[in-house]
Amino acid sequence: MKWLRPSLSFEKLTIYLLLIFFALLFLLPTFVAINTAFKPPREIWEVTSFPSQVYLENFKEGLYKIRRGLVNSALLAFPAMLISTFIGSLAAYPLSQFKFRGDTAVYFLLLSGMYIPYQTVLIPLFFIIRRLGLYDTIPGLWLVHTAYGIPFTTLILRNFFATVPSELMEAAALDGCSLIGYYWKILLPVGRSGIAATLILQFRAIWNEFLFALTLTQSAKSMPVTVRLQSFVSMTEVHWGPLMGATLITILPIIVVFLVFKRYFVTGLIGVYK
Amino acid sequence: MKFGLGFRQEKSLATMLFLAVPLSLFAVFFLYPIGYTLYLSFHEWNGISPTMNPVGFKNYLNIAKSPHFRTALLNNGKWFIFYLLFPPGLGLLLALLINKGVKKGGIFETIFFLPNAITLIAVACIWRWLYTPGYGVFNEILRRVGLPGWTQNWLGNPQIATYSVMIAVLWAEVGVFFIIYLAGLRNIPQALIDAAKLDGASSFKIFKYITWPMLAPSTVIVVAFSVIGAIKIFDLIYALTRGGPAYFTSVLAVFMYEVSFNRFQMGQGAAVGVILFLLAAAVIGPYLIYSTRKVEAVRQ
Amino acid sequence: MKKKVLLLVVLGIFVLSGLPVFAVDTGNVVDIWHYWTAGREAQSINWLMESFRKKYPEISVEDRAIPGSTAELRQQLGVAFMGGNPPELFQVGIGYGLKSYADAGRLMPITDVWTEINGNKMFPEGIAKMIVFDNEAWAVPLNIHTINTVWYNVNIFKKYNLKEPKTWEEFKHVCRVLKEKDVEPIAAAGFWSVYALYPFLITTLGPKGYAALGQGEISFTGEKKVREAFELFKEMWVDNLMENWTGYSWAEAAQPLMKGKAAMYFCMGDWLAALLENEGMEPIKEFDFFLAPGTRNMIIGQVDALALTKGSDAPNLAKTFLEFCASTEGQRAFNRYKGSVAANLKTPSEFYGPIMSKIYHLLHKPETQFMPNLSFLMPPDFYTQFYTEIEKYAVNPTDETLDEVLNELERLRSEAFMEGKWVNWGW
Repeated sequence: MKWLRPSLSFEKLTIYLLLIFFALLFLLPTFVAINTAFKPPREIWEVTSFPSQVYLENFKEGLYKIRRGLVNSALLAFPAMLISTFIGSLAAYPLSQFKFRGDTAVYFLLLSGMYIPYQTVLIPLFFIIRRLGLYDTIPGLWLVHTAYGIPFTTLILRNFFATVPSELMEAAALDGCSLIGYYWKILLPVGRSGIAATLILQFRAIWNEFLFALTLTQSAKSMPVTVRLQSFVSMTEVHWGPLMGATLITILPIIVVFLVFKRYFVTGLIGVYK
Repeated sequence: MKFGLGFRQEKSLATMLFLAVPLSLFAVFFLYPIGYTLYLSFHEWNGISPTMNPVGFKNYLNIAKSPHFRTALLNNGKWFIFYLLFPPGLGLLLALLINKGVKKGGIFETIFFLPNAITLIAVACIWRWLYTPGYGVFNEILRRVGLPGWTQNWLGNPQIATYSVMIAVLWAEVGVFFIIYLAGLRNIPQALIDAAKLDGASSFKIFKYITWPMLAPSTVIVVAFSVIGAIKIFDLIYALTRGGPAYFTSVLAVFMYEVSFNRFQMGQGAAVGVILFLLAAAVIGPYLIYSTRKVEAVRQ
Repeated sequence: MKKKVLLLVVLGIFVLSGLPVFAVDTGNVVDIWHYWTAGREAQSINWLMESFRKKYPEISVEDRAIPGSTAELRQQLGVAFMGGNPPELFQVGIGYGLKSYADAGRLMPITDVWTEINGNKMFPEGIAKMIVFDNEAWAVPLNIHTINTVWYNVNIFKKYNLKEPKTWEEFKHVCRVLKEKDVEPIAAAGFWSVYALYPFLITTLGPKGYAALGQGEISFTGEKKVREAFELFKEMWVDNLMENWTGYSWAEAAQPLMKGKAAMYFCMGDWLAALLENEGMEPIKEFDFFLAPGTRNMIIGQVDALALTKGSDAPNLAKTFLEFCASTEGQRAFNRYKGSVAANLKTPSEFYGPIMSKIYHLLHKPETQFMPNLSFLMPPDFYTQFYTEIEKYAVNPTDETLDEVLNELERLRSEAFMEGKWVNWGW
């Protein structure tokens, strides 16, 4: 089969080249950020130059100013990611597995939540949260992100769950598995690809979210990092260096979550065929 | 839950049980604000006064008269085309490339997702540095490579500013589309593909008859994001150009923000919000119905 | 086993973050909301609060910095008013902004404080007009940011033997010389075009006419002088702008000025001085300013003020704070870092840098008049569309565009007039 090898590696080579090409394009802007983070204040306007020294002050200052924010964001985003994905999966289950009257209508209704511009919901939202006594608390933000994550998580999970063949459910029923049991033991593991994607995207959305974080928190004990980052920016001054330093720090948790959960991007059907 | 109920009744019970929490959250957090926004759109309110005046359809009429609104609407059209083609297209391409199985694929995956993780202010800062006319990175590179005639006023030239922002948005958001497609691709049982290969099918045929149809769920998600993205787009445009120069790069969401918070016309802003909502529903609605059927087909 | 550990960890996180949930007692704290989030501005409010604490250690004063500017602060305030827990004090622009809060019944008048400090004498007349209305005084001004300053690169002027122009003819000459020498005459940024229009409005309409325009009394299409102002604006400013000016933010546009690629920066506020100094330019020696031709006896400025809300917890303590702000001690504390001059005319000047000192002396000349930024006079609804239209003209300064712009502005003006939106501030 020696004659097969050259064409194989040609395909692989093109793929590699394309990937490298895109990777470079994608890295350029990020590189500009990293470059700036290492520059002392005077050099920041020379956008196309490299730092003359490895200036770590930006990271130190950045980290110092946002330290509590990082803790708050972590306390906010990890649980919220889990809860919102869970609630979304609750809705996605019947919508993907059962046919019933009005199922499309309910699906629609839930998805229509995605068209709402968040600016407009601020005032009613504020009322609700205050009424519940959750203003300026992290659990308040859990609630908000869970509720506003419903359309998003339902959309993703419903479509991934829909790839599960209906024979599985019949087989499970024959085995004496209840509907709730089906959810836990079969649907979730089989749908793990979709769940992993949802977890990653939800984490990132919640971690980087700004508007609700700003409006619904006031004190340092609940303020997430996205609001804290604004302390480097004002109408007349921007502290580019520490801003970039702090930004690079805030990216890390998202990347970690990404790396952890992407290994679950596998076909869920392996291992189910007993 | 094995109460000995018939399968059908058990299903209804389960359906209601599972939908209970999501739907009640939805009612509180969505229906109430939507209703409030609709109500507000028929009033005049400056955002701080304890009272509002009812003004009937005046807000809607004012919006229709405004040249800013018309430009914004047109721009949303441009964004619609952009969003349907580019982020999904690029996301799919990248996912396909990686899925072919390259060594150290993980590094590439991280590189493509990374921009999505960067917080908005930083993204805006970075792209302003890239786009500054006199000394920004792009123009500097063009000059050094010997192409000074190609330098542009990326964000200041009304003709191309929107496209410049689109490039920034593409960079920042392809990660989402990429992940959905990657998860979708990896969800396809390898057995199917191997079988087809043994049958002698070409890569192209495999894609057309197996991969693409089985990606329907991902595609539904991705198209939904695209449409919604096109209609709601706000953050990067506002951060990069404020909708300017004047209102040439503005879109409906920027218009809404300006009307509500710079002009202190919350009622009129709410009216724009209602229009946005209806527009989105009108576009996405039919698509969702159509796609629900398609996804059912995948199951078989 | 692993699952159990994970569950415990998750539970732990839930508990930890739910713990300190109780609301902070705000009964005796003076809470101030503003948008001075970073750098010198943050320093200035901090220094003001520190100085206050030294004098009145028994009064607690806290602040909250809201990212953004007027619009974002107002958004948060709106939410707070609705919720019934506004801060005691907040940053506000004088004139229309202030009045909109007062009309909405959200402010407590501070006429007693104003009379106590003799506000009408303590602050320039132009400022007092925008704070005292409906028979009450509503805020305490902290500073004045001058915006009719034309900044220039001293080295370039020296190199080509140019003098600070005093009239438009001289200005035109300066620009011509610069163009011949391949230097961009004026650096500019997108979104600030409206500030550059002010000197031209004053030139053709005079200060009274400028104010009348701000009070909605002059027709954009009916009054010839308005059109003249725009045409002069085009001839002197738009035609001399650096290339691609629309693609720069105000700070980015300072770079060409510093590098010597552009010679002047027309009508940018005095915060530019702080930026230039930060970047290593020496005031007076390397950069300096002159007042725009036509406005040489005026300071056109914007003013940050603090207003007292109705429904807050500690209004009396807040009034003490306001009195302190108005005093020379308070004014000095705030303006030390801010890069503006104190609104209180009696504040001594030894702490100002060379540029601010110059502005201070100009302000204190007997013939100098204080004129507010048009944005303080006009209804925000109108002003927002006003500056957008100006920008539109600046980007494409043809006669057709000018016709369109003037017609649209006139249409908006009459609409606002029919709705009773214009306010007469007493000019």
